[in-house]
Amino acid sequence: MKKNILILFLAFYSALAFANLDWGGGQTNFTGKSGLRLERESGYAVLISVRAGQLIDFETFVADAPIDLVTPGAILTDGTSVNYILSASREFHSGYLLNSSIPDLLLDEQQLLGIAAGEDLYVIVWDAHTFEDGLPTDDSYFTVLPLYIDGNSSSLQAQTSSGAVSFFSDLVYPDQLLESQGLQLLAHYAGFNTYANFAAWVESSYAIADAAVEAVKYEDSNGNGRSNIEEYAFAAPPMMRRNYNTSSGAASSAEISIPYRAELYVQLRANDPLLAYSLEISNDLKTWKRCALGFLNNQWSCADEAVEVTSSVYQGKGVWSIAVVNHQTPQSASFFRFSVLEKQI
Amino acid sequence: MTLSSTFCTQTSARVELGRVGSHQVRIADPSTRAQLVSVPFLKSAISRGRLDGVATSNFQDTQGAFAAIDTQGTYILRITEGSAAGAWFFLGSVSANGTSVQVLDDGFAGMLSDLQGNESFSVHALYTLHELFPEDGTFLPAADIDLNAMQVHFYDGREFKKFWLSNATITEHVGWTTAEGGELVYAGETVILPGTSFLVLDPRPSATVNIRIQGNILNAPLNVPIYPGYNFVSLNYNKRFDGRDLLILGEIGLKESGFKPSHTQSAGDRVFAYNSATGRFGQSFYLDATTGEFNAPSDFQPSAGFIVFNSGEAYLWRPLR
Repeated sequence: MKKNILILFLAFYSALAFANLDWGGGQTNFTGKSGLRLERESGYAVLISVRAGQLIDFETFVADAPIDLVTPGAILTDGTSVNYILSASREFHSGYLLNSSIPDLLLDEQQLLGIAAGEDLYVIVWDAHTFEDGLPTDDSYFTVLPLYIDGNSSSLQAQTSSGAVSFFSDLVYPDQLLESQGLQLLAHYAGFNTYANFAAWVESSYAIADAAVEAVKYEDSNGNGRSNIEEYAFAAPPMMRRNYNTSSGAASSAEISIPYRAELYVQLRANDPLLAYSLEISNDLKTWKRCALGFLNNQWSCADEAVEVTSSVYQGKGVWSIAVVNHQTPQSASFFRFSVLEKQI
Repeated sequence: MTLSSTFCTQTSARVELGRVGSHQVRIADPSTRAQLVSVPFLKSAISRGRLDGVATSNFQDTQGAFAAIDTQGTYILRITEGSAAGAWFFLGSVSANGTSVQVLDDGFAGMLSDLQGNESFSVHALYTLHELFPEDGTFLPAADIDLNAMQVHFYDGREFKKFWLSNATITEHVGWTTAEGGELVYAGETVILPGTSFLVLDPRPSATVNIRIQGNILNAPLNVPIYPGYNFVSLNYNKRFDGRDLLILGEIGLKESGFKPSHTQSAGDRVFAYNSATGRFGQSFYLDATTGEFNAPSDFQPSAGFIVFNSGEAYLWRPLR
């Protein structure tokens, strides 16, 4: 008998633990990659909750499939972080994701989704014009915003339950002071593209069987003079550009010596944790100084203070184009080369 | 039509004891989230008469009482006497000479099969959103988006259908607006059903707004359908209430109409008051199966909505003492 009573109590409690969610974009006006305000055909929003851990870093997250990112009911797991996609909407009108146009997420729907109390709420707004076949790609644009009750950011972030027992709705939307929000570049740098590692890339490019992946790493399958692993690690051959300083007046002296700055361009892959890149510098082709290139917070950098990564531009499909400048005083000659090591994990 | 010259003035209501009355409804109040209000009257009848027959899906009146019905408004026919008094029906198209009118949605607030075919009736147009709530933006706040504007939320049995006052910044019209099929459409012609209550939200935190509603004080009940689940309802003014301002929960016909008794607060049918300060349910009541009375005294004014939770089959509530 005691057991039955306990079950009844739990069922009753769970049925009343939530409030309906009236969610939306509040006062925020969303513009897409093109700079135009999002409309019904160009905007796509999802309501997301954090079940465990933290909000997943969607700039580096590897989803099992692109559809998981935009489908209500999908569970996204990244390490110890578990996020739920709760709802989705296209109710954008002149850039506004109107709360009143989106059906409330009702109690029974929340229960079907398995929502627990106390899950932090966020909205992800996508520029659907950057989708392919109706789904996000690693070239898509998005922004993530925390939601607050009545948009009041001075209070705690909105959660799946306010503690109130009601079927009335909790009105949740981004900070009410946030009136304009341009979308940022979606960087699924380690995303769901098919080239997350060498095996995926080479199998996609050359229809090579699984067992042959290791064997073809150092082959030149397309006969362009570059090995497969080199093509994978460096999407394009490195280049150098000399920027001459013509304002120094050196051209008028008897001994012509025009200073220049060598700017190196290379395309690297940031979405494969097994790849470790370095820039190597030499004055005599015998002794090489190596400085590691690292990728953090969407920027590349070099461990050597004299070497500056002057730009990091995402090219899509996990590939970055970077420019590197060596600020050390040039000797009689300077030589550069990029190398990549495949770490064993 | 005879208008009474006798008035009974109360704190928030002024009710004529004759056929037409008016009521001041507070739709915005400082430090509250939303008001749950209703329209406590029907519009004055556009025609009255006695039926000369009821067919499968239409009413007949040989004197052409339905000729006044146009295609612009939404009209109901109310049965005013007899055992079916309180039943009402949505009306559709009218015959050329006004002697016949189509009945829509039979069973909503009455059954054609319950009628004899000779009942007395009155025909009323229903109030619309823009008639009750001015939409030019001068009296009530119209805005670029919903959160900055006056809003009205109707509960449809599952969720709230939301309307807001647009100033035409992102819509092609000024006035009441709702989302329909992905578009923001004009919704000022939305009718308000008798006996229902709805939420009104003013975005201005310190605003106090009253509106005055005029209409017909009924001399017969007006049925309110109570569906399974939550029902946002209200009381109409009625002569049979003798002009009483407060209507006792146990004396408004719920017990007699199908409200189911229970032994505890947490099971069976319930009545919920609304707490405008929290925007949530207030006190709740149940019909004590042992005593046959509600577990605590309460009363509800016309224009103040409340919520009936129906744990069983649908029934028609006849709000009469």
